Amino acid sequence: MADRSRVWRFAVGMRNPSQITLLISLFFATVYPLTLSTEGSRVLSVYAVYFMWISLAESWNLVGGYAGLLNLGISAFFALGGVVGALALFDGFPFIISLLLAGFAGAILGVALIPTFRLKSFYFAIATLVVPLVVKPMVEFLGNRADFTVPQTVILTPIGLYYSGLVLAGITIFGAYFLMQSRVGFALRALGDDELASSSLGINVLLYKSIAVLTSGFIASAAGAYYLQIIGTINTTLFQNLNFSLFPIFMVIIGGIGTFEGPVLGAVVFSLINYYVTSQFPGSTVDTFILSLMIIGVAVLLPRGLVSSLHELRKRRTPIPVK
Amino acid sequence: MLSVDSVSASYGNLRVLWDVSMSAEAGEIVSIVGANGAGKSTLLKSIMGLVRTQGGEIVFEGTRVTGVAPHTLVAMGIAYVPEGRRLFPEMTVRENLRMGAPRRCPEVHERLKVVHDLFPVLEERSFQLVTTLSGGEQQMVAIARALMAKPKMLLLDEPSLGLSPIAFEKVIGVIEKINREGVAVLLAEQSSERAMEISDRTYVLENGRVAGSGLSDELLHDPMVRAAYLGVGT
Repeated sequence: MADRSRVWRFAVGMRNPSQITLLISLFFATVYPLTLSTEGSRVLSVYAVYFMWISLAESWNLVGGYAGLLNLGISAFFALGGVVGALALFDGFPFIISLLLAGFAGAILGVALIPTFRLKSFYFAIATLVVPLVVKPMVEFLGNRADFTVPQTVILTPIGLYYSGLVLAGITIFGAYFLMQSRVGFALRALGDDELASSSLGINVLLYKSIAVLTSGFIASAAGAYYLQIIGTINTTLFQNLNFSLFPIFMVIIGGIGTFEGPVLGAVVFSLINYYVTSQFPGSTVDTFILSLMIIGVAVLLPRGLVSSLHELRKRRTPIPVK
Repeated sequence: MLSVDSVSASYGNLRVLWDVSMSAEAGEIVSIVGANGAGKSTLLKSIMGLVRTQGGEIVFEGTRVTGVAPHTLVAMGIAYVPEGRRLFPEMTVRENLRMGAPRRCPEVHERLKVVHDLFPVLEERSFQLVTTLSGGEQQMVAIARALMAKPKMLLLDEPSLGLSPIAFEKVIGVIEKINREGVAVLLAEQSSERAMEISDRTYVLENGRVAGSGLSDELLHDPMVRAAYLGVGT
């Protein structure tokens, strides 16, 4: 009973406009495929990329946004998830198991980062930058190849891909929300604000940083196994693909760092702009230039991201009664 | 209750504490005074496990706690209010206080009531962001937050920092009240005279060494101490 009331309290806590918008969007995302014909449902696989980015951005936000640890090597978790997912599918495991195995592999990689927790933020960031460089050759050596292509028979149908992505993103979003409403979330926010103060209050710094990094690693790797379903192959160059390390950070900055709805908005906005820009300038580097300018613009003009700026705008417009 | 025996500490190659020994008994207020850079904050951080010590040992209630993690010390009954208050700016007063209680704390509401009785103004301001409070009120949040751990001993680092004399007097009143309720207090303070007035015993730190110690009353009337540390001519 106590648990039910707790869940209810969390649920009714979701009442600010961006959270309500998020719930409505999820509802429409759930019913949208029902409006499509069998032929038209092919378009669903396009949306899979959005779900993947939402999960990856939300995963980065747990560590970078809440716990204040700048992880520059999330591509390592992502690519490892893809590789483990492929190996699991080769071994005949179903998709859901491949996702879970990839997640556990990501959490184990997170354990490898624990010794770096005592480093100051800048040095921690450098350490995470090294992770992809270390894991990539290890994977190539152990797997004895650089390319992990799975047969078409184990790839999900567009509608399966869409709904599994929606579930992955949904679990990630609400998982992050519930986590941040819990005592663990408060401790993480405190850690991100001031590590010394948190530590002196009895917050077990190592424990909470570990929870953040392991959870984030799990989600990022599961997203990697999901990405495998989108493109059908994982090459180990993915470990060092800067896009997968930097884009989640950009998305969180655009949406709003340290908020649970920010990464969702950031992932959607960034992916849309990225899609538009790359289709306007195919094969050139102009897209990177424009995206970089956009990030600098957001950092200067909306340093707390879209979600916080929308909240502030709403507050400003709300009349305050004078006593 | 707490004894520090020949403890040294450094930041990199810079040695800040040299064989410092001191003690504090249950129910006492002990002040640590000294100029800026004398090592007062480092001593408190060393006790709290926030700075790694070299040599010596720290014993709390018969248990050797040298090098023990801060969260374990808090669980054992030592709470620490850092210099500059270090509140969580994105959180409300209530949330800041909640952070001071242990992770699983069934009596959190009782503890909140205790600190609200001690600081009624904080109950009124429960849902305000801490950054909207005055300096004195923020210091009260910092102390109340530490008290949420129900400590046996409270370490206070420069509670007068950035406070007006009136606000500091209020804080002093609170420290005395906490002590009357049985919490031992270790007070590191640059406002030496006021700290010595309310404490039972005092340690004077100079360049990382204990330059003098004794009953606060006696030190306060010692012409040499007055001239050297309280800025009062002989």
